[in-house]
Amino acid sequence: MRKGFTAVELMIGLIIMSLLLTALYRTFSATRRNAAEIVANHSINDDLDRTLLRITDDIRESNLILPGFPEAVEPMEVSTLATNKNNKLKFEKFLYDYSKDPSTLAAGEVNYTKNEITYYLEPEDDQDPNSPWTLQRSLLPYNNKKQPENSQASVYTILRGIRECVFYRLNEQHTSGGGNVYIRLKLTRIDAEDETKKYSNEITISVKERGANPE
Amino acid sequence: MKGKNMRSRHGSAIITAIGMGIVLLFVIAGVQTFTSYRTQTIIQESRRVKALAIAEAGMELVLAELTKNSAFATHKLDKNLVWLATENRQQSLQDLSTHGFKLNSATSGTYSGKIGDGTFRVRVGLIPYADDPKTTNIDESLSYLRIEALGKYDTTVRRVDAVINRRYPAREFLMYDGGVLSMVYGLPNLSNKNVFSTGHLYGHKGIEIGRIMLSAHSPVGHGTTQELSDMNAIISGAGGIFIYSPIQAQFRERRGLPAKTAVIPTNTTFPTGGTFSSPQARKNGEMPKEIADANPDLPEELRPWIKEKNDKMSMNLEEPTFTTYKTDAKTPKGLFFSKTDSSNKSIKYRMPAGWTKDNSPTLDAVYLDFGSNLRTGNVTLPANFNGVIYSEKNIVVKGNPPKDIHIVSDANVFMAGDFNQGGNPNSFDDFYGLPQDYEPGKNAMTAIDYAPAIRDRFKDDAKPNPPFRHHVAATVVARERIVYDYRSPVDCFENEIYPFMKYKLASAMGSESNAKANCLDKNKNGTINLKSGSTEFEEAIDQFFTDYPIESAESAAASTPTEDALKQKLKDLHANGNMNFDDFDAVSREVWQGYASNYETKTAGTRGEPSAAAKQSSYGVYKFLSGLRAKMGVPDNGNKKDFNPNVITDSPGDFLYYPEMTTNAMFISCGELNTVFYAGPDVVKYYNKIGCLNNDVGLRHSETNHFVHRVFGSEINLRIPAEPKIHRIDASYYIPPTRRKIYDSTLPHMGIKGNKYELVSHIVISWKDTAASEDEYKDF
Repeated sequence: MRKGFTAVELMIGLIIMSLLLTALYRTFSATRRNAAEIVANHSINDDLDRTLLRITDDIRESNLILPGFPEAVEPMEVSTLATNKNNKLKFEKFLYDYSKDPSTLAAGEVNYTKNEITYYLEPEDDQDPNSPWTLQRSLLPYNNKKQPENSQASVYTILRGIRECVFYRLNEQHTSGGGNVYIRLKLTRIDAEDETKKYSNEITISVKERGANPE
Repeated sequence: MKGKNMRSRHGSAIITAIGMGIVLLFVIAGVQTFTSYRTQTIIQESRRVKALAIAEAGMELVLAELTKNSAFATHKLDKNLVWLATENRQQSLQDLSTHGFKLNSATSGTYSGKIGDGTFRVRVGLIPYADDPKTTNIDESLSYLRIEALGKYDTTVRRVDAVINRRYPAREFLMYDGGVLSMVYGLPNLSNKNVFSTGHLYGHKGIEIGRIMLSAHSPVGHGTTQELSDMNAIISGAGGIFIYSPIQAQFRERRGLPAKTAVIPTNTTFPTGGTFSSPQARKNGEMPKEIADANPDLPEELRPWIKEKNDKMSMNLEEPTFTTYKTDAKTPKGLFFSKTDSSNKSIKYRMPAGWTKDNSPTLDAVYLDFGSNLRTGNVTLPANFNGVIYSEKNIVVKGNPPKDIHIVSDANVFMAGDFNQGGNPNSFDDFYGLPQDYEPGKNAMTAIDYAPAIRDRFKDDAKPNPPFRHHVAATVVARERIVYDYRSPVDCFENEIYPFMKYKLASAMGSESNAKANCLDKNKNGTINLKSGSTEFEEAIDQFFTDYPIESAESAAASTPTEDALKQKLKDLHANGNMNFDDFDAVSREVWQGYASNYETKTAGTRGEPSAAAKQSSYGVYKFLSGLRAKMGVPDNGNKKDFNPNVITDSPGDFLYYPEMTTNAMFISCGELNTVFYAGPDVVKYYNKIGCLNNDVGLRHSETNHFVHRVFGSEINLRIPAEPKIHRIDASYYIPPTRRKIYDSTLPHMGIKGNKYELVSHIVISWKDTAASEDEYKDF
């Protein structure tokens, strides 16, 4: 009698095999999904870190954060602050030219130029009250006669899909210029299927102003 | 059979296992790669942050070195900010093992060391920028520093490259206050004004300006107001700028903006029933809760000149370099007085009630008189003098120092007369010290400053190798208070009383018209004509000393040697006939010395106690003062409430000067204000000034309309909480003089180069942090 598999054996083998493969696939698929989830969540963290680092560096390089941008609030008001178009962070960076002899400067001329930089937020969909926000950075250069060069102004998108972003200072007695600028930034995944399980990360940082007004 | 079946299934099991293994391997490899990438990124980021922190620490350490030694530099720089040759330097900071901080010892070049787990290397140098002639109170050629700091942690290197604006507040500011700068001086029910001219005004916790409207926070008739002239800027580090009444102000031209004259409008109503943390705080200068945290509005048009707290001009100052001062004073090139010094400079200085901690009538002090055109001082400076005089006791000082000087006390410094305003003995115009001439039609009470020709004498002092320096860049530093002491008229008004005395003496010896022509009107070639008859002459001499006694009536009756000897000397002159100007001046100086030396009692080792004569209104010096005012047309000798200063006739062509005390220096005090001081537009404010009181003198000579105190230079009150806390002054009130606080525009250009004692503040005006390589670090 010729040796071989019976049809029943073959079917049992195939069934076991398919069960095993299915289990394996499900395991692999779940692991892959989890890994993708982790990567996506980490990209939220990365976006937060990168954006805050960018703003921090910008502020540290600045000379003067303009009064009122952002507004100073009482400590108890901080939790009530919400993202809005009027909440702006505006500062100036000066670039000096020490090779110039000040006695040769023409009337109205100074030995520096400056860039006025503004961070501000725009809703991605004006009609949607729950729309995520986009963080923009505009730059307006001034010439050495303190006049703005409007034709050279530019706007650059820093980050999209922002759930919340607030700039503020705290009203602190006897603190020059408010001392610190605070930034609260919150990002939330928008691609997750389960709304309740969307990954969110919210960071609040403070940046000590370093520079000073040249005049 | 069974074994064969098992073998027949062997192949699929292995395949299955291998398949699962491969899948698992992919998963593990993926997770591992991801985890490893994240770990590496985090490690790298943490190293970068640490390296940056170390670089920043290096920069801060160099800033600390610069604060302790303003001449500190590691390298020269060219205009393109390229590092050039190394500079010699001294390191002031000490290793601190508890913080893992260790400096590599070096006397030149890159500043380096270790902090925590990392190391740093820093270079600092002066940017060779030119001075801007438009800014009188800043020398830009000394104002900008580049600091490049590299921090290394493990193999990661970060670089901080910054430009620092170095500020010299004592040379730049007219007035600086570490607390609230109060510019509310004067008395109620008066229409006079104090003037503050040029330079910057700075209050670290705010500024208040206004006319007198309150007394102990109760309304009174409006009084003295303040005026700002030729101002550079008014700056509040933190806190509001409170304007209680409209203030007339002139602001200097700025780049891109013309000069501006404006009235700064009232922006604050001081609450008379304000809320204070305690009744004592109310008396100590605390601002009422109702306005303390306010940031009152200021006119937009004045924004270029008025900087409030949001403009970020904060300048917090550390205490002066007392340790360096003391070390240098103790060398053979300096002058040092210890607490136990018993040299002939050490004295007991008489104090009014309420001024000493233990109610003692005197303070231990060192008495330093640098002399003047009219007298020889008592200070002998050592050879190759390094410019530092340090006393652990109080210092009493007056006269004209010969060299840029730092006078430093661990206690108080009393400015007891004209200081640092020498006349040129080779210039006839400067015969009685620096001429205090005003422009025609103006006088000391109506003009802000001297006539331009006189001001130019000071400006010339800052030029290289001037033929004569009327003043030097003097720094006066007190760990506690700097006190203006107006008690001695012979020290405060010597340059004004002496020419008048000389004129009156010449009038007595000859005729008033001859005296006027040859003593008052500037005519050095004139002759003093003596009265022809010797009896008439002698009687006139006697009458002069009766009119202007040197000694008290009791002493004169007893025929005291000073007056009698002088009388005889003057009478003997008659035999020689008329006198030329110089010979007459020589005799007059002796007479003046008679008056001056008789102002105080002659108790050995004691100063400041008025003699019996000086306590009587008949004392000649008071009568000269009174006569001088009358001669200048001052009605009722200035005692009228509605005194009109425009009636004073002060001609620039004579040697008549309105009584004026001038103190010229950078005055730096550290002590907190600890005296009765009502914030707001309030008259009750006890300053660090000692005026004359009724029971001390025969004539109240230091009142508002009686003289002008001209503070020429800068007043820096750091208000550093001192240990031990300085004692409270609770003295009797006196009527303050009319003030002129005038900025000395030579300060940024005179005695500053290479000066390691400067009080400095550093502001970052340009900042960049970037990555750097290990090779760059190694070669730095």
